[in-house]
Amino acid sequence: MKQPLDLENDKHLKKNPYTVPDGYFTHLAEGLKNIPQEHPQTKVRFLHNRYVRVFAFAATMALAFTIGWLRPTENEVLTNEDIIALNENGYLPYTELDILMVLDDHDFEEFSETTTEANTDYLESTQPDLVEDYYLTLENI
Amino acid sequence: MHAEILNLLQSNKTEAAFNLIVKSYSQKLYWHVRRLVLDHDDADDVVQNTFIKIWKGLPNFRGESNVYTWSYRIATNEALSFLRSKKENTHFDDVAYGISQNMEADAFFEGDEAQAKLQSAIASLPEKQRVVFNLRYFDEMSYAEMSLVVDTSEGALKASYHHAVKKIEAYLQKD
Repeated sequence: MKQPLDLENDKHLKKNPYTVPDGYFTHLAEGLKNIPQEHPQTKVRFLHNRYVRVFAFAATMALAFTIGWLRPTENEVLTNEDIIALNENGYLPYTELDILMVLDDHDFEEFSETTTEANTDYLESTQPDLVEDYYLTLENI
Repeated sequence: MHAEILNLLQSNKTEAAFNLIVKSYSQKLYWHVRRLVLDHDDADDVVQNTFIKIWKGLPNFRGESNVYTWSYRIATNEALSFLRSKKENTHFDDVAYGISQNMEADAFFEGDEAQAKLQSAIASLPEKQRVVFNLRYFDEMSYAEMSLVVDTSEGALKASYHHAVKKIEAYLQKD
C-alpha cells in the first residue's frame, strides 16, 4: 500500500533542485551595482515647485469663477417687457390679446403708451372690439 | 536591514541603499524568480529588470512598507509579466508547465525524478497559487509578509496554500 505523501514535512522534496553556473552570484551582484550608472535618476520638477502649485490653484479658481459667473441663473423670470418684445419678434405663439389679459393696470398703461401706430393699426384690424372697449374705458375715466 | 536602508535613503545616499539591497536580497530574489520561470537565463533577465525597477523606485520609497516585501513584490510582478509575454509567443497553454516537462534535460537542474515531478506539479498550478506555494514552501515566508507581496488577505493566502498542497499531493501520487 502506497504511503500517503506528507508534502510539507518531506525534506527531500523541499531541497532546491536548481543550480546556477559557477560564480554566477558574484557576477550578478557586480553587474547589478552598475545599474545606477546605466540608469541615472531623472528628477521631475513640475508640480514640486511651490510657485507652480500656487499658480495652478489660482488658475483653477479663476476658471471656476468664470464658469459660475457666465452660467445662466435658473430663477430668471421674463419681465412683461421681455414677453412683449419676444412676441413682437415672433418668438412666442401669443396674440396681443393674450398679453393684454395678463397685464395688470400699471403695465397695461405702459404697454399702451409704448404701442406704436403700426401696432395700434394691427390691433384695430385684428381685434377691433378690443380697441373699442379700450377707448370706451378711457371715456369713462 | 530595513532600518539601515531607510537611513541611507533619508540621508540621500540612494546608491548606497541600492547596493545594500543588492547585497542582501539578490540571491533570494533570484531563486524566487527562478522557481517561477524555471529557466536560468530567463531568471537572469527577470532579475536584471527587477533591480532596474527597484533602483528607479527607490527615490519614491517612503518606508511605509518593508524593503524586503517591496522587493519581492516587484520581482513577482516582473516574473509573471515575463511568463505572460512568453505565453503570447509560444504554443504552450502554460509556459512554465511546458518547460517543466523537459526539466531533467536542463543543464541547471540536478534534482531526481520525484523533485522533477514536484516542479511539474507546481507549474500546473494557477499563477498566483504557484507564487503563494513557492513563497510558503521554499522561502518559508510568513502569511503576513506574503499578503504584502501578493496584495491578498492572510485568510485567502492560507486557503490558497492549503488547496495548493492538496493538488500537488494528488498530482504526485497519481501514476
